[in-house]
Amino acid sequence: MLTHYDHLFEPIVVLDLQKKVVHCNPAFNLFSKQPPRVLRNIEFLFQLFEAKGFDLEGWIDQGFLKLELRVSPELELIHVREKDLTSHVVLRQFPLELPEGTFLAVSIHDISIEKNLYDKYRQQLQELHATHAQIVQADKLATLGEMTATISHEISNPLTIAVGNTEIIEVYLANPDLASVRSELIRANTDIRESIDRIHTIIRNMKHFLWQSEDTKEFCSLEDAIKHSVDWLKAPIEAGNVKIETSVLTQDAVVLANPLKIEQVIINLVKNAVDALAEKNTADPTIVIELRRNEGDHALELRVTDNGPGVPKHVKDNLFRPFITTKKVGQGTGLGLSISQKIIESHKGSIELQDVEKGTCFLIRLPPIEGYSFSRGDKVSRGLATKRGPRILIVDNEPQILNVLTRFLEDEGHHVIASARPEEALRFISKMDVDLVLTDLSMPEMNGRQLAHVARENGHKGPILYMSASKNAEAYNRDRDTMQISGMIIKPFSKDEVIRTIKDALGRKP
Amino acid sequence: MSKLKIDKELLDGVLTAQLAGTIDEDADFTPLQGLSQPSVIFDFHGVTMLNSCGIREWVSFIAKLPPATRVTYRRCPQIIIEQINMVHGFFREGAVIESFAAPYYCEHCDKESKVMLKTAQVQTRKAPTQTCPHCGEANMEFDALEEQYFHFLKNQG
Repeated sequence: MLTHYDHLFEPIVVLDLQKKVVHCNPAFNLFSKQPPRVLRNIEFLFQLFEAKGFDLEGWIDQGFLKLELRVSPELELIHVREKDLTSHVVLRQFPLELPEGTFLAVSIHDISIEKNLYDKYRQQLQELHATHAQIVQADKLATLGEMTATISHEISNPLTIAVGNTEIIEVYLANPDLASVRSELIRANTDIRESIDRIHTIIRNMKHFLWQSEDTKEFCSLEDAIKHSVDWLKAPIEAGNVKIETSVLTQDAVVLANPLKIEQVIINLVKNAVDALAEKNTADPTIVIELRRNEGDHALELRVTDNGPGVPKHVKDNLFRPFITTKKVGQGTGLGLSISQKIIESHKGSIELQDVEKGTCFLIRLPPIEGYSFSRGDKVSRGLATKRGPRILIVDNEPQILNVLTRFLEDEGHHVIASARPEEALRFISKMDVDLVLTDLSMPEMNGRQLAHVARENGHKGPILYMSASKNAEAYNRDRDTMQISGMIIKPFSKDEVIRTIKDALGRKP
Repeated sequence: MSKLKIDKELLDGVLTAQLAGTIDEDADFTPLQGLSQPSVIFDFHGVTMLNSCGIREWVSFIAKLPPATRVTYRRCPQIIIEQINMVHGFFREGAVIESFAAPYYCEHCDKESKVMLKTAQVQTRKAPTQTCPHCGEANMEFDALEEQYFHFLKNQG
């Protein structure tokens, strides 16, 4: 019977009740790197292997007690008779009932190659990320370099005003009757302060833009990103007499993104538009930035449209390839759109050039946060544990609250789904299993009480928690019994308060 | 980066490729591609390690050699013989294994030796008698399962 194992590729060793080796197949010879002569004299497995950080003896003892199919975790086996040789394996044990008695077979799944390949792949991926980060930073520096002339002009104007005012102050200070010129001195001082503030703002924006952010994503407002980007480009926009029209057609445009990278993309698109408008001396140069939500898939759509000359036909197909530029030599690296595309794709979104009658229109699409945070949380829990933590849906239109709560809850192993819009949250509750809903009470389109009401009407039975300032505790008192609201987290809150309240609510589901 | 070194020598119309190092996922056999010699000898003496990814690379390379090419495997280490015995396609059909390493053990001085054997020395899958290179003991013990180890000989005419 045991000789049947001799024809298998997988190394197998059979142990008797005293844990002594009674048989090993030829594949085991190869795996152990020991000749049959040596294996014939091996009594116990520990004479061949040590498992790093794992009680192999105890695992085998348990095997004889349980007498069932069991699989070990991934182990690092040290070959004690071979210098510097280790193997990464997963062991499987199963009982054998033979006429001679009860035995335990241990088969070895050698995953050393997969492990090495995985480590190598991880290392190469890290190198790629580092290189990509360097390219992104180089693109920022190039953008900044191209803007040096306009920025220095922007700085020199307030500087001139400040210098002029210091001279005025000097003249006034020469006047023996200072009281008579007090108001002039105050005005000059105010002008100096305002000029310095203006310079400070320009420099702060530059530093913000150049700051190398880590590749972390958070909930952030797309509207804020547009505002920051336009502020940053104030100098070239004004220099080119370009009119900027921003149109926000959706509320709660929250995305799960790296805000600095999203700003970098918007800056790239707007600056390209400014350059194109200036180069062709477009009459009434205008850039329209429009933010709306797609009615179909609820993705956020950001359009940057200009009334310039448009993209030449021969460039259109290759526009997102590196080193493709329509600018004059020395005025663009040709990397901006390529990097922008990579950034947007890393946020599970898309960027495309749209067909318009006149000018150029870029469309960026970013996914709704509910699905994105769900799939991200799913990956987090899959990577850390074999059993997923409770699935918590947080509903709040404030990105900062979503960020804080997500951090708190993910630290505790919870699977967090975030939503800034109650309607979308309700859609999610109806489609997916959610263990607990934590909703803010004050939201613009639909408040937390309405959300809880609809969720209960739709048959959602899991715990619901409110979250609001203490002045709104009355709402909880009213709804506690009528809508089975489990509790309320009072803002401002601490991590301990949040975790404890959620744990208690999960512990006594309605 | 490939940790496999390939030295080529073309003499009297016969290409000898000496392989040394590791045959793994990075193994690059392109230096040998496109060489259409009627006879190629692969000398594996310097190969110290190979893994399943490297075997895949080798099988893919060897399958692309022109069908008419006469292939000889020379000085195959034990790890190569073990793969030839296990992996279909590692050994090219019609090829010849000229020589290979065989494990022996001397009971007298308790030392292991790898002895290079000519294929013709092995008859009916029985290991030939060898003298210990360390102590001169005339009758070393073959240190593997003969039936398993010499399995590849069934393909050798």
